[in-house]
Amino acid sequence: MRNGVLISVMLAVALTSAVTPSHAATFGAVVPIGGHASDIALDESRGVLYIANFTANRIEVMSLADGSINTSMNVAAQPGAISISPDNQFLLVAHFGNVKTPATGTNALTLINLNDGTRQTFTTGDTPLGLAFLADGTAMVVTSSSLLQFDPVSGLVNVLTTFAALATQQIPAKTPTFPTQIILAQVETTPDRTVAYGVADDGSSQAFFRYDVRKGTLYAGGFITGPKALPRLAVAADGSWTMVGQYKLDSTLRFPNQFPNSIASVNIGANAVDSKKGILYSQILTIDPSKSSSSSSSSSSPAASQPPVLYLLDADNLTIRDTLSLPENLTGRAVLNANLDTLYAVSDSGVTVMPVGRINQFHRVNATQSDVLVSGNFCDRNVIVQTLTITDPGGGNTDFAINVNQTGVTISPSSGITPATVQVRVDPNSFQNQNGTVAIPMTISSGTAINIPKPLRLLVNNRNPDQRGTVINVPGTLVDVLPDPKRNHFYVIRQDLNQVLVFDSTTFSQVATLRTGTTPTGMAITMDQQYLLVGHDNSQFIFVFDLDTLAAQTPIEMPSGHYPRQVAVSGKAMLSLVRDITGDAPGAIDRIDFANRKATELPTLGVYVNNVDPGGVLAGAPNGGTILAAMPDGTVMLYDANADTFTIARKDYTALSGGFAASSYNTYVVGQYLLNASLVTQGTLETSTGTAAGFAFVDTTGLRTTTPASASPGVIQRVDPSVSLGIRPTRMVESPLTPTTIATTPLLRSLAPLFDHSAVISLSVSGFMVLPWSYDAAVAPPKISSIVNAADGTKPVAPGGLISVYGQQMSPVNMATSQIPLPTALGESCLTVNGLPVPMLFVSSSQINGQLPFNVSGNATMTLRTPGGISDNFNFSIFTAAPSIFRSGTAGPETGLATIYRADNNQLVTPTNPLHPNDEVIIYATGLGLTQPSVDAGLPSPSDPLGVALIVPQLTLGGVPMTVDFAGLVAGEVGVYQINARVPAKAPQGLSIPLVVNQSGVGTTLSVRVVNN
Amino acid sequence: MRKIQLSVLLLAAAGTTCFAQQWEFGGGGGASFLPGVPVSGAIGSATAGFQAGVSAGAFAGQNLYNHLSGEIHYAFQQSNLKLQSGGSEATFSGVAHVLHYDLVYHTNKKDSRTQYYVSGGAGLKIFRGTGAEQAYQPLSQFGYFTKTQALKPMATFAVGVRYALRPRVYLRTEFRDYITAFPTDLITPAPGTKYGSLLNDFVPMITLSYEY
Repeated sequence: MRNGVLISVMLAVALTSAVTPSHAATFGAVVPIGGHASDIALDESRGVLYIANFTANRIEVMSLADGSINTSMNVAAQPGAISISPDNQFLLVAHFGNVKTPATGTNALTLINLNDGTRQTFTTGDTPLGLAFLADGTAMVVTSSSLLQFDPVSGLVNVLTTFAALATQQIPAKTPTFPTQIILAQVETTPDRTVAYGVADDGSSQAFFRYDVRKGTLYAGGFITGPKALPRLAVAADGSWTMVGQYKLDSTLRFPNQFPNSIASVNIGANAVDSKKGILYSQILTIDPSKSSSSSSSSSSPAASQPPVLYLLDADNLTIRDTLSLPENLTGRAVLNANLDTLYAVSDSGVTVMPVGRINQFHRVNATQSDVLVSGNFCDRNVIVQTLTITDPGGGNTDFAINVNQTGVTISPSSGITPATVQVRVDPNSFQNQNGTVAIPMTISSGTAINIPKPLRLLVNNRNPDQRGTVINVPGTLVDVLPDPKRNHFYVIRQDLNQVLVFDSTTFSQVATLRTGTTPTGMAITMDQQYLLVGHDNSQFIFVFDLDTLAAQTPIEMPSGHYPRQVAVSGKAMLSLVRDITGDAPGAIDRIDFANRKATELPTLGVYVNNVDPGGVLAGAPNGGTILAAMPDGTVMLYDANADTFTIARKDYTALSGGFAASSYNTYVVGQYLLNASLVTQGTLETSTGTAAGFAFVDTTGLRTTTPASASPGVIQRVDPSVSLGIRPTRMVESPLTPTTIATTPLLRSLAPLFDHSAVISLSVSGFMVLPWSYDAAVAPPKISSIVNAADGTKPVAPGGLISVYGQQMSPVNMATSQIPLPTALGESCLTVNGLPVPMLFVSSSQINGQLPFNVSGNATMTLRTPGGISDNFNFSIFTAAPSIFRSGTAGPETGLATIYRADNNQLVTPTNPLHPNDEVIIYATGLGLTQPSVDAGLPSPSDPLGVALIVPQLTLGGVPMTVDFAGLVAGEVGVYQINARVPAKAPQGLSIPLVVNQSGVGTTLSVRVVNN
Repeated sequence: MRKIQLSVLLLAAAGTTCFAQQWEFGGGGGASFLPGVPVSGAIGSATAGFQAGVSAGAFAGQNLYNHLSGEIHYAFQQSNLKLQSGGSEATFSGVAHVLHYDLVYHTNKKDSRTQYYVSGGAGLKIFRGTGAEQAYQPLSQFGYFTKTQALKPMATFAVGVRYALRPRVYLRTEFRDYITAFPTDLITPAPGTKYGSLLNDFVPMITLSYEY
């Protein structure tokens, strides 16, 4: 009672502010208890939460309704763990009584009958550390030396197992040592209490157990992890796994997942799982990712100064869905209520109550995209405008502000209320000396949002005509690229979302997403070219995907605690370079038994100790003869498939970074070093063009990328290994990805020549670049031979209309874009009409599709610029209006149909779907000219108000005028117009009735079938 | 519709000329079988017509003489439009209405328990396509199903037996053929195809009638 009123007021204020956040911008309400909480137990039948106040020797009884603490039960000293029985009759309290002499030990259990208030005390010899009631009504108690089963009715204690005594902390402890640092154990069950997991800590190693109540089986073992797991458990509803601190452990002590960049924590952290939604609610301490080293194993300085956050994670692979700011750190057990909509967790002040089921009612803010790519080009030095949508994921109206600290970039509006569309204006002239891509962080802030907005980048590219390659924007952390030798695919690891992205190697568009384990790091394809293997930095499994179906197969299980960061295949063995979180050596090389989907640690690497740098990489030679291993510390090793062992290990360098590759001709590259069959340096590649980035062998030659800086254009060149010579260095459109760019590994595979020799893919600042295979060949200047409208291929074209330009050498690559606004440079081509840039949709060697600007008419001149130079002028006429109906309709197997629809059934008008008197028809066309309001070329048309054609087209059907209800731009489309008209009641009937669309004397005619009703 | 109304009036007028004689009313049902018409063209051959369907109708008759009577008939037919080529078939919902006047010649006198008869007459048949038109229709290279109606003059012939179940109550079984021009408004020949011109509609029918 003593703090009840005050606490109630504080909680009420906190809850109110949470529902209508104003300035707190944190999630959850804190209930202080005037002491240090050690455990909680939820009693929804009584509407209360029991809080063990370790230092005040009380069990605080908190009302779930208002968060007030109206009752406190005084109990024996140091209540360290509590649990309530399944029938809600008993509350069992463990008293931590491991005290230093001369005080007498006070280890005990107190059983409180919550129905009649009676209490019984049971002395325990050893210190009770954690407990939990089970489905059968007994309680499992972990002591410092044993696992007990306690029957609250009879008082009988059954010893399930014993273990070497844990070196438990003693009281009094040094300040500040928090209760959970003293207790160092927790037992947690499934919601139905049929499976219990427990972890107890002896200060160095940890004891793990899983007890199945129904089967009566106990699995127990010890484990060591680095960083050490904090015993904060959440158990999946089916009992198949438990989250222990930052580690997900399954029933047999395997490590399916570890939270990336986690560090050791002595007190801060909590876990709870909603198995129905597949969400983990976790607070896990991490290092600053931008300061992370080669792996996430760092256990450097605790980040106690980090603002407390609650992660909402995908339960299967720990992908972060959202990050919410907390008012204070969570420091113990976290419990979800039965409805799974409220989370209670021990926290610094006592307990924090988080209404996780109502997150959508809280203010949050995010951008709908992660990157804003602005591509300037040598055709267009005008200010470029891109749009960015800011939303509240819950659909609310949330204040926001966007900040960009960069000259030449303006945001309008820079603040507002969600949902909002923000214009990002970039003046290319401010970047004229920067021909690569400048990545500018954009920060979103909000006074009321409870979430941490996701990172947002503004990418500004300002290429010159000599720069080769096309940028494909792929947000996120990309760490590996691999071409498929059999299929028109290549694969890119997007590490931040735990995905492998599958791209079509002809269109360069993403065709599939493969979900991986936590932190995918490296890929390999099996020698039969049937399976993709994906290694992880935070999972004990190598994921396997069938490349024909892209379906996940049974993963490969590594030895316990071995995280397979790299995978490589040879004709004899499949090897994995692992990060070992449990062993003495930080890294090792395991051999994979693919048939049985198991791996074992190699006892030795030939004559060498199997102890490697976990930041190392593996590269298999395409012929299967060898596997190169390279370490950041300068060590290189070679596995020989014929000898089936490691035959070489050298350390000729102090450090290695950059690209790496193994050829089929006994030549290897790591960074700038070219190595011979004995891994002896055979040459050093030049560094005058910048830092070594990517390398790939193509038969006996190589391709190499370098870059002076991430904002500069990179350089690609062919390499003749026999003379260590770079040939025809060519500037690229932007910098290739380098270890310094992504800061997660010093050795990186970023270059992938496609097997059909059609293009070269290079991971880059914005995603990846596509370079024509013959990027360095002499290129003929482009030639324009005709310009037609893109709808029906006839010559009349109009302002704002979609056009097709035909010619030769128009683009070195085939490429389509869905980017909005349409880019004025696509691939490596840009078009101008009377000097104005033409937004483009598609480029190929013989055809370019684009949209004419709205502000050109009459006689016009078009020119095309490509890496081959500039075309001759092409003169043509632009009419005020030139309506033409698209021929892109399909019906069954029939294609090329005119896009005239009957509104009655929303199907194309065909002989089998004829027009009837009074039918409403919808005609999709282009070339209807200017609109009111006007729309900029390349931008989608507005929906409110609609862009109405200034000149209304005249329509006749069989010579009878049709009523036009609407003629104008289709909302959301670029350059596409729509005409709504009505079939006259007295329209002539027949199989082939002329439908004429006429505008300003320019018309188009189509034959349609008309029948009577 | 104006044509239909005129025809009904003419038939009704014909009936009133012998109003003083014995009358018979009846109704019944049967099936409708239309063999279709051949479709030929450069793209191949097919059959256009109608699926077999149900037929139900009613009649009113007047015994003019011992061996001769006159009858006015109405029938409703549910018969879907059909195109068939090789193993492929495309269909489209459809119905038809039939109205005609027949002269009936009985082989026996009217008071015989069993009478055999033949009849012939003329009238109108209204075909209606009632399906949902689609932008793509299978076998559209041969013809287009259309949601519309067509009115066709019709000749009809029938043979049958009338059996007295009890005084004044008769069971009639007959086999009838309705002959019309093919309704190309409903199944429109695709360009380059030719359709047969006459459509037979064979209808076996059972009717109960009452005479007074």
